[in-house]
Amino acid sequence: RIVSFENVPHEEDVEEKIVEVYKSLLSLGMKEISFLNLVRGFDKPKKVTYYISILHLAYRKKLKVEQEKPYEDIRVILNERGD
Amino acid sequence: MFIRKIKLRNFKSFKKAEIEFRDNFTVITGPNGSGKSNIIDSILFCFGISSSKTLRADKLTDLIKHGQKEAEVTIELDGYIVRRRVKKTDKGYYSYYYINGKSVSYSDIERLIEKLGLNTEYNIVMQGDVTRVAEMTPIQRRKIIEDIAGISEFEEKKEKALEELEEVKRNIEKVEITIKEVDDRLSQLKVEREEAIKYKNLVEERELLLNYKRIHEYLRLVNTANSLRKRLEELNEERDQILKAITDINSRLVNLNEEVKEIVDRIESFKDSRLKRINEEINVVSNEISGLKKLISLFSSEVEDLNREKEKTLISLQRAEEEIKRINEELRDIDVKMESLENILNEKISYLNALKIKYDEITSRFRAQREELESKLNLLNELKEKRTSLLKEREKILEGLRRIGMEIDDMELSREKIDLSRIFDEIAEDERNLAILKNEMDKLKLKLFEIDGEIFKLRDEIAKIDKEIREKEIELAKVSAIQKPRAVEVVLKAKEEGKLEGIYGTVSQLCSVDEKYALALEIAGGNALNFIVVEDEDKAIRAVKYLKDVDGGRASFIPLNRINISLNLDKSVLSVEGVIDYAVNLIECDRKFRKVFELVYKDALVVEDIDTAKKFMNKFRVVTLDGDLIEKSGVITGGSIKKKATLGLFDRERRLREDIENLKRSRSELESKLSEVELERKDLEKRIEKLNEDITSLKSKISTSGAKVDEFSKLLKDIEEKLKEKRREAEILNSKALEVEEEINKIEENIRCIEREVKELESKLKDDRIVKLNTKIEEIRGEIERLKDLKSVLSSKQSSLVAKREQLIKAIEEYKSSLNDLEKKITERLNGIEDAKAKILELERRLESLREEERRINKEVGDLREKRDELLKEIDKLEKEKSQKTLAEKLLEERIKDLKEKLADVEKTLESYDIEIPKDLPSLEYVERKLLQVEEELKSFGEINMKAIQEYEDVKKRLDELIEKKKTLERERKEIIEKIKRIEKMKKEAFLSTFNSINEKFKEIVKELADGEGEIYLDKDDPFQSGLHIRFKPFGKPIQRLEAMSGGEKSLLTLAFIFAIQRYKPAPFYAFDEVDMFLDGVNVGRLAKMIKKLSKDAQFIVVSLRKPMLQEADHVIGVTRGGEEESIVTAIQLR
Repeated sequence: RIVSFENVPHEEDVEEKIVEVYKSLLSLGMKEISFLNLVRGFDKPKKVTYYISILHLAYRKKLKVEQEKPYEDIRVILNERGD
Repeated sequence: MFIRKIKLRNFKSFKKAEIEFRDNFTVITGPNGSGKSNIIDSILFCFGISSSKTLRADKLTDLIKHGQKEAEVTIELDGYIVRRRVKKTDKGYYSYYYINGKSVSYSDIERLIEKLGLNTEYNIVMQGDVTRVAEMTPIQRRKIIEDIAGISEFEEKKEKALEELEEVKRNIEKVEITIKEVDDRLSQLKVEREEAIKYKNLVEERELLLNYKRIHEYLRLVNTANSLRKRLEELNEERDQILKAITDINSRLVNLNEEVKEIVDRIESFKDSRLKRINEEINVVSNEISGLKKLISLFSSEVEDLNREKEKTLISLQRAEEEIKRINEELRDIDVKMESLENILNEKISYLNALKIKYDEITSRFRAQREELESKLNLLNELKEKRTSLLKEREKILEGLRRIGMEIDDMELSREKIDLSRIFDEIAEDERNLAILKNEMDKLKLKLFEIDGEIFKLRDEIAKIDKEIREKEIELAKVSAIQKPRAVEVVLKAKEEGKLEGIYGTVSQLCSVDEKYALALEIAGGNALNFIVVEDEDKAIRAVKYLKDVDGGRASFIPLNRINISLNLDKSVLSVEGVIDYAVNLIECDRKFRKVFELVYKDALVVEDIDTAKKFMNKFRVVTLDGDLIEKSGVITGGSIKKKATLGLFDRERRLREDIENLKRSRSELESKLSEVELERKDLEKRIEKLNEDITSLKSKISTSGAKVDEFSKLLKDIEEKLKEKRREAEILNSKALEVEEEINKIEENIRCIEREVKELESKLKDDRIVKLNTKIEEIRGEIERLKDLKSVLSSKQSSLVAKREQLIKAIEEYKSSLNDLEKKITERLNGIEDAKAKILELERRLESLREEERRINKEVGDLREKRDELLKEIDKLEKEKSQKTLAEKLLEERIKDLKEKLADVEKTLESYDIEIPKDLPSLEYVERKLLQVEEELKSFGEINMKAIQEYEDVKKRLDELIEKKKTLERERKEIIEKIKRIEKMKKEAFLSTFNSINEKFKEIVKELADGEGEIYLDKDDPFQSGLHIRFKPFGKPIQRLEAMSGGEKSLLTLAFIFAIQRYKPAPFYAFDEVDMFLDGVNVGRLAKMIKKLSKDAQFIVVSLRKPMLQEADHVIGVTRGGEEESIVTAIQLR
């Protein structure tokens, strides 16, 4: 396999994924969503994508994340005034 | 050693967070600005690893969250909890470190980092580190290898060795300069030294000659010393004899003292044990008697009280019995009256009934009126009955009132019985007595104080007398020691010890003389004054034998029974001018010793001067007042004489003895007075003790009386309360009685009204017969009613009397019971008094027997004291003898001491010589002649530097030392140079070993990470002059140098270099902060895979935003911002 530093493969578009995840969250029509339920059945990359997106959405005040103990389920609470 | 948890408080963007890490590979991710890198910063902060610049803050306090005063980070490792706290104040900031909760210094943290193998330079890689390594010069990169290889340590050693070398060089130069200077000085000293040696030899010869001279002097002194030693031996022998005698006396004294001690111990034992016990028992018995007497007094007082109470009760009883008698009489009268009334009543009723029948017959026509009348009469009867009932009720009320009245009377009686004033009187009396006792106590204490003063004075006087006695005894010892020959002393001592009997004393001891004739009489008496006068020749012979036995020397004895002398003194001589008297007439003595003095002095004449004496030459033995003597034979002895005046001294001895005796008598008198005063004091103490007891007892009594007053006061209060209650009850009954009275009055009014109506009706039924009958009936009825009333009154009175009698009987019972109790108490107290008296008698008998025993023991003690005094007298005598001996011994000692001092001086002088006597000692004349020659020769020398001899030797020695030192320093220089070469070699080996090892690992990593061939290399043969370069050959491409590579390639190779270092020097955990920033996705994936692989052996915490990195991670920690803009963390597991 040829590795070329000049020929860098296309990097994932994080912003696009964030919007996608947010839409899917809104489409559920629930104010509070279990992260584990949300990503159940997803493969590892998709889980990572959802997790990163949720962190970004929390940073942008679209939602809140709450976790009682590390590595346990995360409650994703959508903010009402998010747009 | 993994990081298990990081706790953050007010650290940068974190307000409060706990981040839990698990093994292997953890990625921290989150939006830019969320605080991801702050977690890596917190690790650096907690371990104090880097400066604030590395922590991405201008100053340490910038690490504290905005608006807070302090920040804290805790990292939990396996087995360790490391905590750091930084606190902001107005003056600056304070930083605190803790390990496992204990405050530590930064050096402790450093030691922990060392222990855990946290090489923070390479296991924590920050954002800029990758670029930094890539942008380093080759030399700087080589330095990294040097650091890892520990080259600095070799450098330090080399530096130190070079410093040492420099020091040695400087020392060699200094030594060479000194050698030159010392050599010059040595040449100069050589000439001076030769001159000095010549001079020194002459001086030594002079010394030798002087020494010969000293030897001659020494020999002269040796002779002197020998003669002194011989004399000293003689004196020592004499002193030993005296010491032996003293030892004998001491031994005797020890025995006597032991005997006295035994007696004293016995006396003391009497005092301490038996006498003390008896005294204690006497005190106990006395106290017991005193206590019993007090008890008798108390019981008597109680009996008196009880008798008074009994009398009062008897009076009450008598009154009650009289009252009963009276009531009984009254009841009997009432019974008689009642019986008579009953008979009359029955007659009247019978008569009334007859009249009624008659009346009914007559009034049948007036039935209606009669019926009305009857009804009225019935009503009248009812009313009367009601009145009777009310009267009874009134009676009951009155009875109740009477009962209450009696109860009140009883209570008042009880109240009267409580005689508080008597107790108050008693207390006042006790207090008066207490004041008297206290007054007496004060007087006794004053007296005690006076007695103490007297005792003190007496003891002081005794002490003064003791002192005077001691002084006199010393003087006496001196006087005795001066005069008496040893044999005389021995005999007199034997006499005192009771070993010899019939010894009167020396001639001089048996008389006294006027002071002015003492010298003349002493000269006239001569040696005969020390002759010992004895009872008879047997006593003399015994004494002589005794002297032989004890080797006591020789003495002369005058047996009193054998003196056969008859003096015929010519009195006419006495009229001659200048003649004083015959010597024998100037003596004052006991008549029985007169012959002794006649024998000693015969017709010796005492005259004023030698001219007078001359007149009696060949006629008399004449002695002048100055002590000149002309024998009968014409021999004249005279001249100056020390006024020792034996007779005077003997007289003094006698006077001293008398004085001592007088003093002892005074002392004895004072002691006896002291004993009396001490006895008085003891008595006084006993009295004080007794008074104290009485005072205590009285105080206790007063206290008890006070308590009794309180108790009685309480009782009185209770009675008063009850009285009040009863009076209230009486008032209620009175008011009830008034109500009943009022009702009775109303009924009576009704009765009168109805009676009037009856009369009216009866007037309607007017008929003479009826009227008469009616009148008669009414009269009879009236009589019946009166009789009934009377009966009722009597009955009521009877009931009242019976009730009163019952009460009185009850009261009598109580009085009797009370009397019985009182009798019992009185009997008990009287019995108590009798018992106490009996016991007192018994105790007094015991006291008498104890006192008898006390007297007996006191007598025994007295006897022992007498014996003790006798022994003490003997001790006293021995002590005197000892003093005399001691004095003699002292005199000898002084002489010996003088001689010894002289000898010591000589010996000291001899010792100071410290010489050996040569065999061929030249004669003194030769020595002195030769000495003169040498002195002349020495004078011919000029100024000599004698120090030159020693100085030459010193300088020579110093020069040798310096030459030796120079050799040593040169040897050291060679050794240091060798050492530096060895360090250089080791340094190079260490560097190359590290370099090669890292290079090997780098090659492996590059192959895996970048799919190419890479190596690190040095550009010169000498590694420490070289730069370090990285060379990389991508797969299928030409070789490239780092400087020519793209950003991504640089990052990848730099990371490979870092990984190679890490593999060379592994750490337990690694933290990377966005090291994948410049890598494309594929290379991020490669890097992630490598980390994943390495994480099997170490913990990796990587901050990354890259998906390929996250996808390889076992756990992802997400950081974002919460409501108040603080960083918040969540964590998910991806495995």
